[in-house]
Amino acid sequence: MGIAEKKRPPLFIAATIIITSVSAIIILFPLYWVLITSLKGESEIFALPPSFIPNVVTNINYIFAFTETKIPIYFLNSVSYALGTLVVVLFCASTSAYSMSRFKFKGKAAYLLTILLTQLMPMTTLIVPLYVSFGTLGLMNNRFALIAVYAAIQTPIATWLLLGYFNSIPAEIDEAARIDGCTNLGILWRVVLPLSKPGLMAVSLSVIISVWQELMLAMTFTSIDELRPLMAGVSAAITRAGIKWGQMNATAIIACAPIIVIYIFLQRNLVEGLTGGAVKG
Amino acid sequence: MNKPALRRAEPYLYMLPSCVLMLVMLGYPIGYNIVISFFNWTLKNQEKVFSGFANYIDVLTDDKFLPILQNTLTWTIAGVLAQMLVGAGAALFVDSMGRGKKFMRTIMLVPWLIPGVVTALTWKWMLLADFGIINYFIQLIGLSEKNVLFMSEPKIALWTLIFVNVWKAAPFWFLMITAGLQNKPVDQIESAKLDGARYPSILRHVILPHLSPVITSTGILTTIWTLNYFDLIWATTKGGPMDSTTTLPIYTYRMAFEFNNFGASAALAVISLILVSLVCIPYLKKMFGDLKSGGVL
Repeated sequence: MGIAEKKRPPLFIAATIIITSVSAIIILFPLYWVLITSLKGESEIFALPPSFIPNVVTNINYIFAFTETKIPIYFLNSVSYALGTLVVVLFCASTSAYSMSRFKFKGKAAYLLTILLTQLMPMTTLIVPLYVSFGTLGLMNNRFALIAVYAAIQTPIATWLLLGYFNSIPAEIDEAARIDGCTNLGILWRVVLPLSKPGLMAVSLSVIISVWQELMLAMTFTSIDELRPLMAGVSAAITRAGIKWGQMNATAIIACAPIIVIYIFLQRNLVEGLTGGAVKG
Repeated sequence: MNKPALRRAEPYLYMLPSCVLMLVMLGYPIGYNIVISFFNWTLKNQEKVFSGFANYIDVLTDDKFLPILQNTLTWTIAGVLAQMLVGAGAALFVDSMGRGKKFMRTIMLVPWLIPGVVTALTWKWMLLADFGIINYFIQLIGLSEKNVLFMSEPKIALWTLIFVNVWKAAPFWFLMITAGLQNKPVDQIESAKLDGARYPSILRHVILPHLSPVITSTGILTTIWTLNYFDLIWATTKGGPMDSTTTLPIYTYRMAFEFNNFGASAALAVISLILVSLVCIPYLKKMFGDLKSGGVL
């Protein structure tokens, strides 16, 4: 490639710059537009011609979202669902991935096949049966029930991802720990997990982001504001008539802020999680 | 329990939590869903009555079904093809860039991370008929005199949503193809260049064959995701106007919670499952075979 780069004609370079800038604008402009709309006052939002840099920057939309709406409650609910799911998934996925990585037993192939098959399941196959069962068992509007569903959905792919990491840890390290008197469970806890930190990180981020985004199950199994996560609350607000656009745009920024922060600081781990371990480092 | 028995049971004990969780929250519901699909069960008719294939026949012969299936296929096929062309094209382009590579890789992923509901809100705001910024641009450069009703004109609403979904999902293709290009056969490319081969022929004869496993797996994954995608459509149009953006998942959800027909909704979910399986079973078979021969199992 080195030789080719020197030979590139100016026209080629100009074309590259143009294509790059146009794509960057298509990608980033929508977010920029949401951000500046959220910082404008009511009259400026609908002004013609539109202002691309707010004349007056105001935080009233954010103050409104935080004080007059249920956004803070929704936000905390989303945090609790994401973290709750994370704890369950990490426990279930690391134990099952450890078992598959370190032991020979009957049914391993069947389990792996099941993991692959779960990826085919449309989520619509869950809503009616679980709605009926949760209704009968009094589990509607129950934090733990929703977390359990999310965890079940995330566990297969998390197991798959962790299995790759666990398999890459040489068995000699296990043996050394065993000679030092570690039990199998001790090896998982003291050797395998600490050595798989990047993998655990990747799994964690992918779980948090998936749960944070999820709408259909959240909408189906929570009907009261006290338990609704952010996406269900926001979705109900945008499909209603008479939207307050300034405030909705502020809400959009609040709703994707945690993910953007994660992306900025933990980009590498996140990319690993998103590609199912296909991209490492 | 004696020691050898415990040792034999140990691997299964580790499998227990995930097996129980998946059995209760995935296995049981999918089984129960199939059962429900054979019962006449609506809000009016709370007494479940076994009705054989009646739900399937009703759903499949309903006048709404064909247009909805057509929407689903358009949404999925056009969507995935466009995601692939844009995402893979961008990946190949960025890969050949000198400076700015890292910057492009960083920003390309942003739309993929934005939650579907927020994407919906963002584009709904930009595509608003009267105050939307896109209509402002369109009139500024004189493409159209009138406001374009992106989301409320039945003929264009589905294509608008396909475009938005490409904006959101093409980055995944970008990511996977970029990953696939990390270990491209550099020697082969260099020697082809020395032989005087031009880029299109290198692409066709060296790079694409190298990428084909990645393209297949990404294609399968994005097909499943796009077919089942619910959030974006629900948060923008709820399937309207006049069902022009209703796909199978949207229809299934509304069948249960708007028309209160659980039996028919369950049947629709099974139909989605069959549709997804038809697309993916050959691929899964191959993948499972590879795992076995690769010694993973």
